[in-house]
Amino acid sequence: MIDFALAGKTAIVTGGTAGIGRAVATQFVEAGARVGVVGRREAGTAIAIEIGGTFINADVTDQSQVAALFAGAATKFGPLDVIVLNAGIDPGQATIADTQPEDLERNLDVNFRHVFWGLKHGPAHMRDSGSIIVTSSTVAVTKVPTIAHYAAAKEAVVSLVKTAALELGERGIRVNAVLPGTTLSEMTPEDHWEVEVMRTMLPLGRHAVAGEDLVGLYQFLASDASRYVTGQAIACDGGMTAGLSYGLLRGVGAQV
Amino acid sequence: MNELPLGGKVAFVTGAGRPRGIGRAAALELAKAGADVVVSDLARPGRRIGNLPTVAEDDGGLHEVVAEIEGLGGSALAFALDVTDEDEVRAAVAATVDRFGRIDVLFNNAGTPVGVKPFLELSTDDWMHSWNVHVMGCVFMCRAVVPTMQANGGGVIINNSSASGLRALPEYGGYTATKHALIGLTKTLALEFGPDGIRAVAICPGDIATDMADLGMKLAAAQSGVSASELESLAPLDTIALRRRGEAAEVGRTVAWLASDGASYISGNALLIDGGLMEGM
Repeated sequence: MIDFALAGKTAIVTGGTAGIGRAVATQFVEAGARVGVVGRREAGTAIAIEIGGTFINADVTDQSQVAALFAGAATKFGPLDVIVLNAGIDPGQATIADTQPEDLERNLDVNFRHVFWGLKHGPAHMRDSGSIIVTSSTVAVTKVPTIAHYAAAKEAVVSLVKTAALELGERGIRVNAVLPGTTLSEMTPEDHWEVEVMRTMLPLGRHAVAGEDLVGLYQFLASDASRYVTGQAIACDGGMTAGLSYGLLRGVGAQV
Repeated sequence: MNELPLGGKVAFVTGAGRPRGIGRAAALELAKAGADVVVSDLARPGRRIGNLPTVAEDDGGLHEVVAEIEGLGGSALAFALDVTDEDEVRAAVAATVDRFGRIDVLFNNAGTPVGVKPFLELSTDDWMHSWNVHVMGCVFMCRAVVPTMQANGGGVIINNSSASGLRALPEYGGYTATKHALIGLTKTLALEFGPDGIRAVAICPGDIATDMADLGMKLAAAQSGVSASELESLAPLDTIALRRRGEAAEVGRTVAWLASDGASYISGNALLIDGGLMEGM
């Protein structure tokens, strides 16, 4: 299965020290890639070493730091093959009426502007035929009360992905979004409000585990196996956005 | 990652006999991934559209695919199979289970361009044939295969819809409507059989260099009175982000990935493989 291998490829993963990003970075190393793990936590270097990658300390909400991280990575590794714009924050729950301006700004900085800066500054340091993967969310297509600006940012980055796919297609660079459903991770631990609420809605009857259920999609999109797939927003949600599950219907008393 | 992702699995691919087809390409990629592969195609003289041949008129194509799969080290089995005939489908599936004991992956790929005509020229027979191949073919295969998957604790159903399953083109009415229907069917399968560990995914190839796509092009050319080469030169590659047609193998690799545990949480999707054709201009 040489097509799925990432041997010889260089990948940068933002938000790579925890959650889905850490799982993806780990998988990419196992698949043979050299991986730059971007993050801000103090333990970043130790985490990157544990994964087998190289830690890159950067605040991805700062345009100049984003530009510098890609330039620096290309100087160190050579032209980049894969960029995963994955850094994200959970801005918590609040209705639109109760949302604080600083929470809105923080969400837009991390979940939206970081992706914009990555798409603006990353491609100049990529090899033609490279792949960019953006972590969106199923809330890009299916809304839930109390996470308005998070969902809006996640939908907005899908729009960015499509435009970038059109603009970068001539270079053979592909740009796609991954839409995880509820995925057990540091951002969404077992006791997160969403976990129990969503369980009944999942046709496969279980939440995703980042290291087992999500990483395959990222590797597919990073690999040459997906080289005609671009501009897509691909859900990895156990069937949740296909329709209403048995669990949900039975929960409301439907005879199915 | 040394272990092959589909080692020990059995895949069934319909419409696998065309040398440039997505079915053959998928069968080979599934075999490369370690699966034993059952291939089928229509083997008797097919329905004709004007003077253009439709599907394989002998099973020579299948024999070659079988040889290629065996060359990759896998076991292969071939059936002459009309997916619109439920008795034939049941017999082929039963024979497969007899031989291999299981079916883990079903790729419903058999298709027909018979629905490619101006709307007012599409006969009721054209409509029913397009429906029977694209929708009932999938229904018959799933009716036969799903109980086996349930008994084995899971499986993957991949249905070959089309970019035409998500948008329309003029003079593709019978094709477009039935490919749309196949996506609805896929979502239903994902919801009903998700609790059994069965995933169902539709793929939506865009302009892929296959006999079927070229046949559609020829039909459209014949109807609009220009030569196929003229029409091909008009084919708007500029509307594709990657500026090129896709190759069947590129779709085949996506099928192999969807069949693998790498896609273990992907279900109910309609996945475009179109080089960015549908995302804008």
